[in-house]
Amino acid sequence: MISIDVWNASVDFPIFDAKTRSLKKRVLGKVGGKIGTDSKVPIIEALHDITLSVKSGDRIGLVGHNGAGKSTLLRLLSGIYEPTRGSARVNGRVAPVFDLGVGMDQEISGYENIMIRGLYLGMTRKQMEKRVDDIADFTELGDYLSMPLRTYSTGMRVRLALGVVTSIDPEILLLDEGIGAVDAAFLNKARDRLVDLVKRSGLLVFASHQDDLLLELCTSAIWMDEGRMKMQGPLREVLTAYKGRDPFHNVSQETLDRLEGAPALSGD
Amino acid sequence: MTSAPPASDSRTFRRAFADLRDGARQRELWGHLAWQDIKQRYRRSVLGPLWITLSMGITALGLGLLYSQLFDAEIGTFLPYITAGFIVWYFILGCLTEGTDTFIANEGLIKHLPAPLSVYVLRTVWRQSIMLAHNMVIYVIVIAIFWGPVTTSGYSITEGGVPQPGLSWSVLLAIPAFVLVAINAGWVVLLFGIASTRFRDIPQVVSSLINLLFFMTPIVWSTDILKDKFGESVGWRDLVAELNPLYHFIQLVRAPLIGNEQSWHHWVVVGAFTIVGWALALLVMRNYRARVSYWV
Repeated sequence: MISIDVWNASVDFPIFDAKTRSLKKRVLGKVGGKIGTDSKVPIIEALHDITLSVKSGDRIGLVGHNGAGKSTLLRLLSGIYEPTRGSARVNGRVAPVFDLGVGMDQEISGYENIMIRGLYLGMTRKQMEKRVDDIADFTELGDYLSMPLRTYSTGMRVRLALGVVTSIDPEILLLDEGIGAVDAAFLNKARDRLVDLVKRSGLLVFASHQDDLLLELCTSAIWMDEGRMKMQGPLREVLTAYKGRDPFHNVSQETLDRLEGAPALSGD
Repeated sequence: MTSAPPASDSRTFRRAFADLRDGARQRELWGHLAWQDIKQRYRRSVLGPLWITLSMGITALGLGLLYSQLFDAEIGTFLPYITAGFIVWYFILGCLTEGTDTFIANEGLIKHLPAPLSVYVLRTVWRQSIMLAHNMVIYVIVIAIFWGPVTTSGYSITEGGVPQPGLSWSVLLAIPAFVLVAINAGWVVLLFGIASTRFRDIPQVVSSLINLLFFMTPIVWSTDILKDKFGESVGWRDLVAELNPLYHFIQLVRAPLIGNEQSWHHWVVVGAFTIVGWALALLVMRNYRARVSYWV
């Protein structure tokens, strides 16, 4: 059963500055006793008391201001961060698409990147070799795939990462807002593939600031604010509350046409 | 949602073992990453990974020539001794220094793609093993050149040293010996890696002590020289080698490689280190496994 359950989870980041991160404090600090707050590592409370249950079939949009905890929540759901308080359980194969500028060695080629990402997502080399052509086709990167990653633009990285995750049928798909960096033409193509993928596979959590993408991919939403879940419910309601107006006012006619029968509308 | 929330299992041995098991299963991933590291390091150089082999050859030859003169040793027996010692030392050196850096260097991957921590440990140990394989080429060449002296029964490394049985099929003992050393590399990388992620002084401590350790360990000198110089009154000086754990690790692999008498007590010492080290590493793994992604 594909699911993510989180109970009263909090994520606190310890911030070690150059002094507290060293042994010096620990070893030398013994002499003369503790100096008030200096012995404590300052903490950033990124997520407070999150309780969440996501089951297969759920398609959740994450909205909220910058720094509200959307990306941290995605990392919590992926299992990268285990909660510092409370608990979390992730069942299923997770495919995350997070910040695309970092994480990978900048000197490796696009092909290598495809291979490594695939291996991380639980594929074997053989399975990935079969998919490489398909991914190359989809991403339209052509000869660029043999170039080192540092020559890629943000949009090209997104193409690559989306190409990999959409080719392997993940059970849990976690997308961070970065995927908005691709151009309109590719977005259309990727959208079809993502919609298709979401239908087949279990579960999607998608952080985004783009209403039309959220409307197409998600059915419900969570509004994050200062590390807390401020609101959880049907997408349209949450978006209306978050933005202060109905999201459908801003959507273009073309998108509306495509959205006919899309999950967000049929729910209302 | 069902009844009461379950207690967090982040700090359990079950999760620690699951991490190791899942990591070991992703053989293709860490194998690929380790090869990638090697290829990447020598990217755009003409000789590529051949540099590993070449630099080992140069070091062994240079030091072998110099120290055989300093210690009045036969080049034919001393050069194989230094070469074999160096090859094992480089493996240990790599695991210690790059082990402290294991999680720090993989910060980006750890924060962006969920994977067991042991994947990065295995990546480091496997990379060092690949380097060792490259260096073994030099061993084979040196043994081929000095086949005569090394296979002579009763040869000694330096003049007047302990007579050695000479190279024979017992060379195969080097394989289980290396496997045991590599198993130890696992806990060293895991333990030092986690500790260094939290306390960034540890890599500095290790790199400042490592040169001292090298000279304290019988690699360019031999225990024969100690005994030869001090005779029966060797006394506490013998402890310089015996109390140094690295001596046992190196001797375990080196002795069969050059046909030396292997003392059983090296197996005991290294075996004890394996058990104690892994117990310690598992304990740290249980308590701090989930913290590494916060610390990097």
